[in-house]
Amino acid sequence: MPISILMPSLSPTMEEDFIKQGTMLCSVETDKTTVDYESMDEGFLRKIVAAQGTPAKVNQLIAVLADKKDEDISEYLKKALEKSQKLGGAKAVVPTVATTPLPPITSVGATRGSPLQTATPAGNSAPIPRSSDDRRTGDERRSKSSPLARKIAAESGISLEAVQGTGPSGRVVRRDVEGYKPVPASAGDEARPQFGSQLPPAVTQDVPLSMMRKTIARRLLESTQQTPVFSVTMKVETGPLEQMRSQLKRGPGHKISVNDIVIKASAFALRRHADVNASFQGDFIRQFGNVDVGFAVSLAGGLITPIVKSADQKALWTISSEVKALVAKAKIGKLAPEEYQGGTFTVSNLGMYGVDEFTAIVNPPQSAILSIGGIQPEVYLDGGIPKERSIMKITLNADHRVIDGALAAQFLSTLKSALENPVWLLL
Amino acid sequence: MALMSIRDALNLALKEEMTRDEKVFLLGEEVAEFNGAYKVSKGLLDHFGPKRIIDTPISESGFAGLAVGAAMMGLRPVVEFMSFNFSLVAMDQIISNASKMLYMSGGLFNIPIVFRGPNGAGPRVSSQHSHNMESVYSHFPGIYVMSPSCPADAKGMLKAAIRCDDPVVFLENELNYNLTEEVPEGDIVVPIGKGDIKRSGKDVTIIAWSRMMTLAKQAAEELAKDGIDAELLDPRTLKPLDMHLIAESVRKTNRVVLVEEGHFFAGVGAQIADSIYSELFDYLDSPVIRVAQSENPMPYAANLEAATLPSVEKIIHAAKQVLYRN
Repeated sequence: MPISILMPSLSPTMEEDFIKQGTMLCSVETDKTTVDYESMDEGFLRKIVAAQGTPAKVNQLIAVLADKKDEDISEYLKKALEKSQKLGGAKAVVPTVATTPLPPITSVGATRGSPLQTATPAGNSAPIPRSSDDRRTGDERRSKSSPLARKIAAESGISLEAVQGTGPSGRVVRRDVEGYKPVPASAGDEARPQFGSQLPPAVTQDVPLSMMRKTIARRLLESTQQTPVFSVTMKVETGPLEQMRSQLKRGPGHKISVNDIVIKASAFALRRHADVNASFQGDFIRQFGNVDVGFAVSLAGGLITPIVKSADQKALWTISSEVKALVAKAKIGKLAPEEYQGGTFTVSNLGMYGVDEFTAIVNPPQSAILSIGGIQPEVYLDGGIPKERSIMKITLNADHRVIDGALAAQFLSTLKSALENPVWLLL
Repeated sequence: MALMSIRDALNLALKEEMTRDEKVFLLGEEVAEFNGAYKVSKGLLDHFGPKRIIDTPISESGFAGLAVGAAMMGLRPVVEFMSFNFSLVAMDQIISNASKMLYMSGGLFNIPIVFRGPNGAGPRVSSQHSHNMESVYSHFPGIYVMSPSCPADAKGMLKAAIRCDDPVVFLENELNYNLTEEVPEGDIVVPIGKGDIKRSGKDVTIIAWSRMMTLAKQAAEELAKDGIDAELLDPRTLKPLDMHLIAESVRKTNRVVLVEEGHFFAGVGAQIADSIYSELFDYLDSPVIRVAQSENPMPYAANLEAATLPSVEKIIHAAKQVLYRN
């Protein structure tokens, strides 16, 4: 009886080789990591369907094993291929959206896409490959938590990964989940330091890298080493924006955040500067037809950048609702890959931490990232008379291979205009 | 209400039940002329006469079998074992005959027998006379197992056992016979299969029965000094268990300590823990911890005997452990 092997790209040995259970069949490369795919079955490798280095969809047929070297597999192969073609188009299963309200968006510097889950291109039916760089024993890898803690965490939409366990061997128990405070949303909460005896004793320790940390480290190093980046900063007067927000607040529904408006305004500017909404591809520059704006969400031990797709075509309200839903999913690790992969531009906001301005790292293959500082009052001269206004600083970090200084300035200028005339964004 | 020892409460239950139903009779070693090895049957011979209070030879297998026959003929025997250690020689009668007769006879013969007597470690009676039999008897289908921890329960539960149409193993405790508390007046029956919360608390459920409840109460008082509010649950009937009550308590406290005087391995506590894991997994914030007799024959030396048995300190330690407070 032949056996179908379903999953992505192969770099294997010759057909007719005998494959034992546990033999490494191929390496599956995703945007985040490379994992070894070990065979769960035994038999002679009779047919390699997916060629080395080619992309493959989840559940796509990649090879066929058979008990015998000379067993006729032609009929089986035909059927398996038909089935694979049907399945191949199917999307990965999208996890259910968390319905529990979650803390507001809190973002830090940028990275690419998002490395939250260990890379499994698997849908729900494909065998789950083991990550090549995660070979610790099950017990070490598993984060421990009491059943009750898991239940409470699920009910309150808290990701257990984010919770520090205080039970034996770091087991997360009820008090840990109930006492868990998400990353504070306002600078005020964060800014209150602990004193003297309140602080835990300082210890030197080697913290093992999580998958997310490894990916962040690798990708951001690549980005800084391989991208010629420059940055341009502008001040944006935020009076009109704040006024609009307070008007919107009087309406129904949830609050529209500054971040929502920045996403919308970025999309507005990107639509008008297609050469910023672009990617350096070696021999050419690809300008994207779609404006998919990622935004950085801080998680315990890392971050992720969910994407508002076609943000230029969406109403502010829609963007705001989508952002809320994406943040909620991100916090519990339930983002589907298509919800964090493939953005064309990224926004990172540290304004809520009281940051004046900063420069986030470009998230390849994108060409630019926008860093948002906090809103603050300043004194300016109006015809020689000192007056007060509130401003925020926005900084564009751009890949010089794609974007020149003047272009960056023009883009920022359009963005600044949109933010200072936010009614444009309502049209 | 009247202050009464467990010994007197059992005596009163026997007296009331024998008065209520003339089919009830008591048999066992020294129950009549000597008024019982532990005086549970004190005064009953004088009151009911030698036809209903019967001294037997030292032959547990014989008089247990006699009771099975009497029960088949419509009487309701109460069999006293001087110690449940001696029930070991009558096990074939108890397990293979009394508890299987209804099934084997196709429903023709109910066996309304109460097998009662002191269970567990007495003071310094060493390895052959310190057995806890609850896990053994509760293993076999066809028989109820009960064990009271206070005089009120002793009276109400023995009445329920005597009125039950099926065999009941009723486990008393030598060291608890003098435990004196108030017992409500009147014909109060504690139903089989119904547990009781002996102390209401919110932090940890301590499940204990018989003499272990006495230790658990002391432990709860000590724990309260540390700000730990323990709930004490006495299942009273060990088979069948009052899982409803256990579930209610575990849902509240999320942590369980199981105390039993018998050995750790395959104890009744293991069964309760299993039921909790299967049915209440999502409510647990810690693994269930069991306090039980260690896995050695009971030593004669008092200090070693104490080290072998559960203690107030061991219960306190376990409670702090499930609360991650150690």
